[in-house]
Amino acid sequence: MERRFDMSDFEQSLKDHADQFSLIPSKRVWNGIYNNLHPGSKWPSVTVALIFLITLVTVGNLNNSKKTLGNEEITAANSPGKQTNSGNSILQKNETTAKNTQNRIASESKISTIQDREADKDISRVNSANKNSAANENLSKKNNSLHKNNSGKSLNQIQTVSGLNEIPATSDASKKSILVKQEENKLVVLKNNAENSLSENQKEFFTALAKLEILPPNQNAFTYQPISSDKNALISPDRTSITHTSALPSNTQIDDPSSIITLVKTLSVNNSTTKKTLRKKNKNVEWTFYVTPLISGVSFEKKTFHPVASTSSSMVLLPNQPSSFQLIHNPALGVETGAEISFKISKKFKVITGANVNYSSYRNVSNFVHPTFGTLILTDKSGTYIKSYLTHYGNGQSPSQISLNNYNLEASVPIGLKYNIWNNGKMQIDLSSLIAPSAVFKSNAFIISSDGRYYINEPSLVRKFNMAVAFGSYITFKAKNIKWHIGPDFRYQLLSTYKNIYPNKEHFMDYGIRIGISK
Amino acid sequence: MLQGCLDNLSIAQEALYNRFSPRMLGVCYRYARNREDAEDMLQEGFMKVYSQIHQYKGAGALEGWIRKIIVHTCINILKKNKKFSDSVDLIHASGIQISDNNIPSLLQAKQVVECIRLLPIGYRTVLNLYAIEGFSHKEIAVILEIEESTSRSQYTRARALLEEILIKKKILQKPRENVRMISMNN
Repeated sequence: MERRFDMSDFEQSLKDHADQFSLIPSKRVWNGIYNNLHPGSKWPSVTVALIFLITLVTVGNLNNSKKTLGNEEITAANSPGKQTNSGNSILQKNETTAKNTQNRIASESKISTIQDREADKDISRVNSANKNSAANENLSKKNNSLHKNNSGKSLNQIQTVSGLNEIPATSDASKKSILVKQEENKLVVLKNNAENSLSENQKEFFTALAKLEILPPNQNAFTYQPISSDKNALISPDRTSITHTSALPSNTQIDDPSSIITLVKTLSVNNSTTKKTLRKKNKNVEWTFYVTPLISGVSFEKKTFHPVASTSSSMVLLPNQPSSFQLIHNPALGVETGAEISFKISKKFKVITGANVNYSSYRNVSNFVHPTFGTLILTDKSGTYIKSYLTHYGNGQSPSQISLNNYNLEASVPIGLKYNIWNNGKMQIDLSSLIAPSAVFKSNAFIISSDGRYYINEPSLVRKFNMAVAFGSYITFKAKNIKWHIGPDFRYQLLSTYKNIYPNKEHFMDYGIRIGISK
Repeated sequence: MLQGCLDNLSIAQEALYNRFSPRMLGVCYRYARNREDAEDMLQEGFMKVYSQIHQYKGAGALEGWIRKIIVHTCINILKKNKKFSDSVDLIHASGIQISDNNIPSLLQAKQVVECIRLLPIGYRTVLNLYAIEGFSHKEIAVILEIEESTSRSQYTRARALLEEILIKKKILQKPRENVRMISMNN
């Protein structure tokens, strides 16, 4: 069908048609405009995300297990390969070459002192493969008695030094001590086949070992097996094993060099250059990071609004305004994210605390009105007074409604208890209840005026500090070394959103599903 | 709403945007090469609106004031991108292929706008400014930095071409003026 319009009014028709034409812009246009007009509004979310990431990385590093190993080297004759069979005294060699090697091994770690008491402590940690556990107790006692019976010097003591610089080659300490070299986590006692080259202490030491049937005079090598103890090792009486921590490789046989006897010990030393700290994860403490998408709503102490006539003679209630009416509020999406640490205090109970950031909001249904004044009747210590505000928003009782967003962005430190109600080893169910003092650092508040006709924007009436309670129940299960915690969460704001000078009380309520991970 | 925009309230700004953006996008669409360019023009135009909202004194309709800013923004973008040239001639214009595929089957307003968009950029701009926005040739010459005579000639050519397009698309029927005139006189 042909369409017609008068060509003599061409321009007018063209204008009319063009003016009728409209297109709905895509969301990116408004997003671009908004971001340009309010660039600061994205900073809180960026800051929170950064804090969350930094906390995650920090806790991940803290929970990593690392071993403590000390590499120590005292002696001048440092590497086993340099051992000679020429019959020269190793001690003499050490003394004479101490100065030469001082610089070379000055950066090596120091050797700690093996005290007698360490051997006593090890008694309780003898390898279970050791059949004669009682012998170990006697062993240490014998050790002590034998050593004490000697010149009074403890043969178990190996002087602690920090690099060779602290051991003058000709010092008494070096003459009296048993010179050792520590390679990784084993202690190498340097001995030469020519016993006459050993120091008196060294002679006594090896004699004692032989007497205790730990080390035959001619035996220079034996195997050792690791155990789970973290204390110093103990030579077993069967002469074939030395107990030590699991840090050592197992079943390693050290053969020769014939001039070397290897005693395996684990030492807790401070190594300035190669120290690795052993940290065991405390099983009673658990960190959890979570995020909870929420649906936020609000509860009012009065569901129906009763307008209050202003005392100003210029403000009257409209005659067609109902004496009371219901304000319309719609829930909105919110989110809570944070970190939680739990301390196990008993089999079933844990104390939990942490830090989180919470965004709660809801929408007031309103409508546009011509700019006008709305009033709030406020009450403080000095009495009741009226405050007027310019507003464009009605109470939503008219058609063509719009939404006004009220929100709180707050940080809180919750503290509470978690109770385990069921656990089968693979999964568990916990209940938690928390109380969370919070600080509100950003908010938006549209408040109904006292006569109920308008919405007034007055964020200064929002409390800066508030308190909330939270309840939740979570299922915890493990997947690929990560624990997942999933379950419903409920949060209720105890104090009114607004200060006491504003009579209407409202409380935020959040419902959501918490998703947390811990390791 | 205006006061809210002056106070930099996001809700008021969004309300203003929601109210006027569809029609303003229609304006931009007539100047732009495609919808994406039109939305870019719209975004930049509204940014200027918000930054200059304090200059609106209430004289005249708010929509007209916003529209003026939008149109100037569109022209500036075209000039900046060198999309507009005052050297477009009829030879170039006659190369336009007019077929049923050019314009989808839509409402008449959109059909008219789509026909306008078929014109070369130079003709289209002058046509928009004169016939639709209501600028005079003198004002157009200042805006586009061309001669007034160029504006007049461009508009004449643009109108002729648009009529041809509209007739071919059967949106416009060429009136039998002489016949009518004769009929009326008789």
